[in-house]
Amino acid sequence: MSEKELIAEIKKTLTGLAQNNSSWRLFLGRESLSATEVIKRLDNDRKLRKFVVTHYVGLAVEMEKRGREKLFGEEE
Amino acid sequence: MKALLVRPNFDSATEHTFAFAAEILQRCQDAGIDTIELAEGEATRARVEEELAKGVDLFIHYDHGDEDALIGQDEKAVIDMKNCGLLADKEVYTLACLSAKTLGAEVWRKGGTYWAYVEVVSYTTDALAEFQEAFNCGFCYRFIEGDSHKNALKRAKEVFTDLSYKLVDSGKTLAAICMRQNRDNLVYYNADKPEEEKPGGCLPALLKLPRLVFSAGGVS
Repeated sequence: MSEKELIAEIKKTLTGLAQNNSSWRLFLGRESLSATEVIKRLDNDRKLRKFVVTHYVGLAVEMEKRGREKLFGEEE
Repeated sequence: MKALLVRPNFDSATEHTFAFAAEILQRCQDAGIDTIELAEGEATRARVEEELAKGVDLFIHYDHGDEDALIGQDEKAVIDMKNCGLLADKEVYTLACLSAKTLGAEVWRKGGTYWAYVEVVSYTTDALAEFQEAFNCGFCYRFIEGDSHKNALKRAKEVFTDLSYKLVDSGKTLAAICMRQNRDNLVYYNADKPEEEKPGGCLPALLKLPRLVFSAGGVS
């Protein structure tokens, strides 16, 4: 899956949040962003995009590692 | 042990952190820690300096921060590089964004300890209970259970990790990545040293060389 596809999937989730949970907010320090605002920012804000992609991929890697450790035991 | 808890409340984010800090206050009271609370209008530089001057062992701050400051109710610094000497030899536990970068390192150099974040703290409102648990657990490990600096940090990071997986399972993936980011940005000086204090390889040493030469010249 490419970064573009990942962002598209995240935007779908955010669209769902915007429609079903209008009080949802993402706080980045002092900034408070609604789901709609995050969708818009993902197009233009490279820093936010990098933050999202980095941690989605990082989390996926950790989950894969955790799954493998469940199957074969903890790695040294 | 005597603690000073500072918790302003002036915007949406501090509404949340104010509530997170209520648990800390309760935990302190339950554990018999003598705690002075400076909340909302009381969370000012003058009041913080006044209480710190009286002598406390532990300084707790739940609010915004910058690289070199902890912010109060008037959105001005209650602690910055000018008065951070008041935190010398004290334990500091804060939720403030960024403050570990410069302020935390300076407090550490003055003999204090510093629990905080090196980047912006992030969270989502669909998982406030989970974020409260993550932000507060280190406090309980260190100051309620009396665990070591190193262990408290290690255990807290494990909580952040476990919560990020749980958030994925419950479909809150954006909350999960925020949890992961906060974990990665959480530091505890003395469990760890500030980045600039860590011994580097050849390149960092070479980059520091001109500064060392000039500063040596300045002394003579």
